[in-house]
Amino acid sequence: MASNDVRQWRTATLSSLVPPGKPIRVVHGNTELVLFREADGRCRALVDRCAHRRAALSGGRLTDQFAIECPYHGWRYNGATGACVAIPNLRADEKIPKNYRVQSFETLERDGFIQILMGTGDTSAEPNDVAVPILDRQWEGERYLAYPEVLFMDTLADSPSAILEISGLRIRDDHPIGDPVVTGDQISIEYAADRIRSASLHAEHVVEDFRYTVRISATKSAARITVIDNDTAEVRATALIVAVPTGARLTRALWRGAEAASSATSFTIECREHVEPTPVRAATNVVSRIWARTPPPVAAEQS
Amino acid sequence: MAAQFESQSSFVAAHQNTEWRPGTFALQDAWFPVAHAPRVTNKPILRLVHSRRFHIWRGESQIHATDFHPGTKRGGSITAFTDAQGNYPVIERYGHIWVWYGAADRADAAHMPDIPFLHRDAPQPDYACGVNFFHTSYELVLENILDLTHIDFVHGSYAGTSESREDSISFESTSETVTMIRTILGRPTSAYQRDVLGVKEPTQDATAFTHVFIRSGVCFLHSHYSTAPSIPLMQSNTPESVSLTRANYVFGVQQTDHAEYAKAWPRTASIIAQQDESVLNPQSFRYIGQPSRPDFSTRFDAAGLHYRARHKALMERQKRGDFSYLPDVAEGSDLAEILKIKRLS
Repeated sequence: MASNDVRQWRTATLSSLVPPGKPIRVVHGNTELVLFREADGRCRALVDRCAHRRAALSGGRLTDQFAIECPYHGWRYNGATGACVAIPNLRADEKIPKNYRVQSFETLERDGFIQILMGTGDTSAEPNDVAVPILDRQWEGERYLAYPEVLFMDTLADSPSAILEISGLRIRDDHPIGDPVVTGDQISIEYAADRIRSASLHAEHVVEDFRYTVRISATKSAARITVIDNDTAEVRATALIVAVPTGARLTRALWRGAEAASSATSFTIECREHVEPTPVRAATNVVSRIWARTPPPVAAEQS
Repeated sequence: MAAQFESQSSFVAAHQNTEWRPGTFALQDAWFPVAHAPRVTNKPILRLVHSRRFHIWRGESQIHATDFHPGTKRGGSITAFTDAQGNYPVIERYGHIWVWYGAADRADAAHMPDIPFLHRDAPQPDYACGVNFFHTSYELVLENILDLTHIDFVHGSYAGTSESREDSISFESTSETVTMIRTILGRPTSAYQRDVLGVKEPTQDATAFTHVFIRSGVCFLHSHYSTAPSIPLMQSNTPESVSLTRANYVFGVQQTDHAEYAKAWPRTASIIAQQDESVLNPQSFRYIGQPSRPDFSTRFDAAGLHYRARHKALMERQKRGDFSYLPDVAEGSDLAEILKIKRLS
């Protein structure tokens, strides 16, 4: 029977964090995954739990045939199907039952990120757009924050300086440029920003014109950050930040950024080491309230 | 007579879907060796069994174990686990302090194991004793101990690789114990035996005995090697909580005349424990508090599955209020015979 559920692509990690020849553990929500690459570099994803005694497959190794071998008893699994393909010491006449397997997931590697198709359903949604323009300088990074992922994007939209660190730039959370615009599941909001040095020079004065704008276009799982030079309307730097839920209390932030080398001033957009409490305390949370109250688009009635 | 089994696929097929929920039931009415005796002085120490607190100290003439710190006034209600003054049944024997976890009026020293390789009234030398902790439930630790095929992968540097001319496993059990016997012929000498113990022979034969007490978690291990001396081991595997198991261990170093070996082998205990911890720790939260799901098994898991079945039977009896020891318990209590070792004079 057909299901109405739609499987979703979830951005799980950066491509660079899955090296050849070594399995790694990634948690998405409450699902633990082991990711590894086959001979041709293709990334495979399995549930990180051996079907035998639930040991972590990510603690194991890759065999010459690019099966993953459990570190506890050596059961081996095929990366594409999750089927158990070898159990040590079995006799030649002993066959491994077909149901001896772990769940496998379809993967997609694109634009420096690895996405995994998760959930149930007969159809799957479109992959996430995680492209970052190729500019003169690129960077990427990851960081764990002891902060619930369900709050991450709301906090980013309400008080971006609590989460974002843009080198040399101070974001003025108290100075939004216009109202947020909600389109579908996405919100866009702009904030004024100034060089840190200029901000300290003018600390005693009311500043009415700012050199830079920080634009945030966010869904609940990813945000595109853009730094615009207001003098020239030029995009100076851009970055995509993905929030990966890691259990209920941790967020794993992944980012990739790029900037043009048009001047000596560099703006590296990254995630802070922790969520700064002061901007969160000062926030009025107007943006997230508008985001929450805006109903999602209504699907057209079927005739 | 104790039930005796060859490891067999039919047993595995019949039992591999048995619900297995470690850490959900506290088996009681057993003696737990919670402390090495020399650790207990006139200054109270705290030990736990299934989260129950035991304050233990040495008085002028006897050992005390109470449910309150002796420096405080006793509060709370009296339970069946202590007498009216809050004292638990406690015994000092075989170099350990044993506390009774269960109804105090059912405490019976006859239910304590008879340990042939330890002096009944004296502790072992310091170098033969120690403690490790496993961050998982004691049921999973016992399953690990009864599981011989993990040795090749987790402890290969100490035990040798899985290559051998012949490798067979059998096990037997009573309502209270599970015993596993592994016979290996022509196994390559391990790196540790070769490099540290100086064993020259390239291969060896070995017979390994593992004997566990289901209620308390206490286990005994002994391997007979054709090329190296053998030292038996007792390990407590006390369930302090659902996620922490205390493993007090002691080696029967008097079983060998090889003095260097007697001192070298106990030093491996912490390294082997770290190797086990590396797989047990991640296992823990995949069982505790998780929905029940079947684990897949092979004939090599028969001993562990048998432990699961015996544990379940004991648990169901205790849920019905039956804490008694069945008559077959005597057959699992002669450790000298089970481990094939000489009794200390």
